[in-house]
Amino acid sequence: MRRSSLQKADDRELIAGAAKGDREAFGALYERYVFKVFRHVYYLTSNLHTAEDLTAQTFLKALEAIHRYEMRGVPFLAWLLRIAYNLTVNHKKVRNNGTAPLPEAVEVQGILYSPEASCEAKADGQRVWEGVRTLRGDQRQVIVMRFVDGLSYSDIAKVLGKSIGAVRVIQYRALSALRRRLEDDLGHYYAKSRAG
Amino acid sequence: MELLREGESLEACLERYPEYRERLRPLLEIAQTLEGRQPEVAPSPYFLVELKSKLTREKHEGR
Repeated sequence: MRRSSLQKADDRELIAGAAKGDREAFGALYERYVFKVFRHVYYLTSNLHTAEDLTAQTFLKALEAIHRYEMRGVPFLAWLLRIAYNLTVNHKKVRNNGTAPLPEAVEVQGILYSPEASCEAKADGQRVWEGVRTLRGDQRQVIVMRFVDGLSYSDIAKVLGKSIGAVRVIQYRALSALRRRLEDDLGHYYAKSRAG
Repeated sequence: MELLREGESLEACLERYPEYRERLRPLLEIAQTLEGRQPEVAPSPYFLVELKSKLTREKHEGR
């Protein structure tokens, strides 16, 4: 397939081609999803280099296993994120550090805000996302999949091997915990926002 | 939460569930902020090119 046709092809076509050994088809899938996989891993590891390493491992494993991917199962992104999730968990076990924080600050190399974001919005978002890094593992995982990756509850449930109800409960607890922590740390800020 | 994602305002969401209004508001405020203001990150261009090259050139060694 030529590059232009690869870019227009849907996932199903590309996956079928990649499963038959078409490396260009797999390359097109890579281009389509690499940023999402990287973002997911970065939000769980807090480290750009680790995120790059785990992203590379994710795609190499996906290349090996793509012939086993089932079209009727989870969406391809969810399948990739499940690989990434397992690699991240193993990485943390090796490092004996299951509580790796999310980014300390958002103003580090490689991090960009969308141009339309106002300075105030940046500050608000930063506060909340700094709170996310204090969440326990499963809560942070669900928040990242929901708000960074944009996955549905159904797909999150498939990635984590949990029921949809369980995912909703984890999200509820995560948001509650996040709210309590932010109110403790930033009571004046939220009191002001409520008044406004 | 789905309604927020679809673009409905916070107040409109709360009006749908008046009996839960006070409990929902703080959680939806957090969700709204998470939804719209996550900092974006990107891998280095060098990494992207190197990995693409590796994935498209290497012979697949079946295991």
